Order: sequence, then C-alpha cells, then structure tokens
Amino acid sequence: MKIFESIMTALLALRANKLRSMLTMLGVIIGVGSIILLVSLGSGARAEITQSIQGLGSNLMMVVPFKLELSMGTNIMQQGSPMTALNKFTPHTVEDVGKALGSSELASPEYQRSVYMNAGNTRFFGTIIGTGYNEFGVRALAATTGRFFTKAEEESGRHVIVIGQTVADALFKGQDPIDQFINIKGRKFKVIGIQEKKGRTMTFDMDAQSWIPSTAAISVFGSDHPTMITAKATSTNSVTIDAKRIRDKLAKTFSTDEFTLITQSDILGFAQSITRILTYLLGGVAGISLLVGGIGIMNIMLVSVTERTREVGIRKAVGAKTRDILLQFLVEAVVLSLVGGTIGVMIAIGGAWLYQSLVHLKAQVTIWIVLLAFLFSMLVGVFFGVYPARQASKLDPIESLRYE
Amino acid sequence: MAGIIKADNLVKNYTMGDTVVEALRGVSLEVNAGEFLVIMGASGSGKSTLMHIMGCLDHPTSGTLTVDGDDISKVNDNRLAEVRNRKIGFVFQKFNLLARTSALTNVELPLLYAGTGAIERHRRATEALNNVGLGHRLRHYPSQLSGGEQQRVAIARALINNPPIIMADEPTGNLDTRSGIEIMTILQELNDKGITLVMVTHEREVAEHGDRIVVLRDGAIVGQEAVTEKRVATNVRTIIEGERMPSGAGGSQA
Repeated sequence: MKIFESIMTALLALRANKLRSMLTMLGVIIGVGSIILLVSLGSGARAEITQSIQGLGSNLMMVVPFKLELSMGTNIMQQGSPMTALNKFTPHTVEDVGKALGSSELASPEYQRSVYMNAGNTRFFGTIIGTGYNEFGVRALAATTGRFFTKAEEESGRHVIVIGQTVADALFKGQDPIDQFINIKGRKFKVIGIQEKKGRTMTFDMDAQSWIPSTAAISVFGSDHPTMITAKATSTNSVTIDAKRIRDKLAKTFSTDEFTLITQSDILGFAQSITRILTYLLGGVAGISLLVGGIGIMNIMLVSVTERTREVGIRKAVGAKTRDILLQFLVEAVVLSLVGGTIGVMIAIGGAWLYQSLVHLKAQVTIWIVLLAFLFSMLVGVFFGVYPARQASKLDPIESLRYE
Repeated sequence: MAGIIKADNLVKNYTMGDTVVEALRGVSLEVNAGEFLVIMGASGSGKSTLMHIMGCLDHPTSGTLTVDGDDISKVNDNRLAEVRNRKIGFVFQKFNLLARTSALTNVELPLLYAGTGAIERHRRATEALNNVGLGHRLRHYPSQLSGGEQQRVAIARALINNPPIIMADEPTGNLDTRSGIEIMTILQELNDKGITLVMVTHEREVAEHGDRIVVLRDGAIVGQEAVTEKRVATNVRTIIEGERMPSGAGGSQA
C-alpha cells in the first residue's frame, strides 16, 4: 500500500470520529501554540530591551559609586547604594572623569531623586535628574520643543527644567508647558524644554524623567554626591581604552569597592543573557505541554486500537500485512499531531498579533521557531504513535475477527 | 481433477491457561479445483478452525498445507496475507464489513492492499457491486443496508481480486430464509463459473447445495459423502430481479 493511500485511509478514519479527533488534537494545538507564542514573546521582549539599550548610544559609559558586577553565573552583586554615606563621589570626581577623557565636555554628573512636582493644583511624582549642560550630548538625547540648559545657566544655578513628555501631559494637560513654572520642594523651576519621546522600556517610563542644572540640584536636594557619572567615549572604537583610562584615574582616589564603570555593551550582554534564559524557560514550559499533548495522542490511539480490533481483523483477512496496519495507525497519529500543529501555529500567530495590538509590546514570530515547533509536533506524533500502531499490527486476524 | 487445496495431517492446539485444547487432531483433506465442498459439524467440532487454516488466516501447529500449488504451512504472516489477498475470498456469518465505510470502499479494500490504483479500484468495485445487484447502493454504509445486502457486499469484496477459492463461514447463518436463498444462489453461480468453494455450515439443508460433505467431530473427520441430489436454490433469480426494480421493491428487511 502506498503512503498516499495510507494518508487517505487515516484521514477517513479521523473524519469518522470528528469530536474525538478534535479533542485529541487539542493537546498538540495548545502545546505547539504555546511554544511559539511564549518564545515569540520572549524574543520580542529581548529585541525591545536590546533596542532600548542600544538607544543609550554605544559610546555611553556609566560610573556608579558602588561595586556592581554584571555577569550571569555569579550573583549580580551590588554593594552599597548611591544614597548612603558610602557614596564618595563629588563634583571633583566628575572633573577627574573628564580629565581622563581629555575633555570636560565628555563627563556629566547625575543627581537623581524621585520627588513630587507641582504645577498649580496638579501633582506628579517623577524622577528629577540634576545634571550638566552637556548631559544631552553625552546621553544622545534631544529636546523636541524648547532647549536644554546652557553652561552659563548651570554655573549660575538657574532654576530651569527640561521635562519628559509624560510629565508635560500630567502637569499641563495639553497646554504649552514652555515658560510655565513647576514647584519642586518649595522652589520654582521654569520649563525651558521638552525631551523627545522615548517610550517605555518594559515597565519603566523614560518620559517621566526631568532634568535640572546640577548646581540647582545640589542646593535643592542638599547633597553634592552624584548618584552616577555619565561619560562619552571619544569614539565608538575607543570605548575599551577610554574605560580603562577612567578606571585608572579613579583608582587613584577610590578603592575598587567604591566605584564601577559600566559600558553599554556590558549592559547589553547582561540583558541579552537574561532574556535568553527567559526565552528558553518559557519554551521549556511550553514544551512540557506539548509532551502532555503527545501522551494524550498515545492514550487515544491505544483506546482506538482496542476499539478497532475487529477492523484490524477484517483488514488482515482481506490481505493487509503487518506493515500496512502499522503504517495506518502511525499515519493517523502523525496526521493528528500535524493537523494539531498547524492549527497551533495559526493560533500562535493570531495570538501574537492580538498581544501586540492589545499590550503594545513586541512579539517576534520567527520562521525557525514555527518550523521547530512543527517538526517537534511531528516527532511527538511518531514517538507516541509507534507503540499503539505496533500493538495494532501485531493483532491476530482470527482473534480480532471474533472480538466483539 | 487436481487438488487446489491439500491438507495433510493438520493439527491445531490452543493453549488456554494450563490446558491444551486440541482443535484439530490430524485432518487430511483434499479439495479439488472447481469443487463445492461443505464442512459440517456441531459447534466445537473444529470446522471453523479447519477453514481458518485452509484459508490461511491461521498457522497449523503441525501438518502441511498446499494452496494452489504453494506449500504455505511454514511461511510467515506477511506471505500468508498475500495468499489471502490474491487467492482466497472470505464470506463470514457476520459479514465483517467496515462500519462507517461505504459499500464501495469496503469492496475496494482487497485491491488497496494488492496495490491497485485508485481509478482502477473504483471501476472494478463498482462493477463487482453491480454484479451482485447493488449498483444503486454504492455509497451506502453497512448500517444502511439489510443483512442480505451486506452479505452481497461481502461477496463482491471476496471476488474483487478474482481469487480461485472462496471460503464461506456460515454465510446464511445471520439471514432470513429469502436472503439466505439469494446468497446461496450467488455462491452456486460462482461455483458454476469454476471458482472452488469451501463452506462451513451446521445446517443439512444448506449443506446439500454442495458437491461433497465432510463431517467433523472433535477435531477429526468422521464421515464423507458425495451429494447425489444437489439442492438448487430455485426461483431466486426472480427474487433478485425483483429487487433490482427501480423502487428497490421492499428493500428486503433482514
């Protein structure tokens, strides 16, 4: 009997038991569907995180006033916090970083606090970053409306502020925020610019940040210890060498526990290794559900073999060989899992689309994961179909014909 | 006439738990080509076992069997399947059609396993069903057919590969008298065309349609007789012709 005939016979048998075939396929549908969907969500999240980290600019380096180790395998280690007395950074440290790079333009302090901001009767809890005039240059940011503050404004400690889009929307509700005033800890700050929209990184809203001159921040927050120093490498190719220069320079003043320099590629590598693990984990969990689906197929096929003992007897009586019966039941199992797999793929693609349009997060359905899930479902069909098919093919024709 | 089936000293033992049941205790029998042989006996006499072994559905415990010139007492299951497929057609008491499968597909089944192409299968199965008067019921399922009609589908299936031998196990056992006569008529016609027929029955009346009767008791042949006055199923031609009328007159309820 040819393989095509076997497939036709299998399809007829499956059609004769529509409800049961559907229920059997459900396990594979859910298994394949969830593998594709979850892995797509995982790799979508990865792409998004990668994109937003790359958005920091590949020249960016960050110096924090504590020890931080970003590596998988060991624990993520953070000793100390920028808010405690252990923070030894001062405005002088910023100058040192600038000197290491050969230009004060390339280093900028960040004094970060989360505070209430008031405009009229409206209140907003956001992040204020006291920083240098050159911060937007270092961080590759830009103002869509208005401008960033100048060197003169920073040096004279002017109360001016550049706000994010979320802050503008929350405090001014559609009105033009430029030249309006925002009250922070009893001081009035004049809005001079709005930062271009950056969007969300997973759960963190980049547009809820605002910038004020570092000098103003020191007086408002009452601390001259920068929570971070941002620095820009002289060129993309010199990141490694510049990072070494800064480390060497700071090592003269600080112990290794008192500062850490992180480059953009450090963060990228770390984030990617985390999201990769996340993707594997999701795929693994979904793989288990496909396995359960496969066991479902085997279970139903075994029941089916018992139920169709007489059919096997009849087929053997008219000349079916062991191989023919084996093939028939095996093809049935594979067809079940393949049809289930196909429906699963379609549901996953539909689900990914729905997810993207509802949650506004990326889901990357790649061709390789679809092929992999499909192949996997076929293997499940063969693996769990072989045993029942062998049972069927070994049936004795006489006893099968007598079977009621 | 040459013996198309030659059984020599066939023994079949079944093991049931600790006890061994001797279903056949050394049966030797020769069926001539073109003969209509009837095997009779009470239930448990071994007549069905003998037919199953001669029909290559089962292996004998010992003894030799030759079917159409091939010694098949020692061959494997797959070779037996081929012999069943090409040389023997079966007609069972319980029809043994595939449920939820059309008459046409049922008849095509032996051709499927013989490797015949779909178009050829369809053509020959249609023709075979026409020959047994069921040309108007090709797409019907067994559950939609009467007992007599189901048995005619089974006969069409048995004949589809043009086998030289037909084995019939109580072919009229589940049928009413009229349908039984129809089936016997068809079998007689096949025998007249030269097909060797082996039939198992326990009814004397049915047995007398054959040329020769072999009687089995406790797994051994205890008597043989040639039928001198062969019974002929009469008037059936008209009955079958009547059923071929457009309305399917009466549809023959089994």
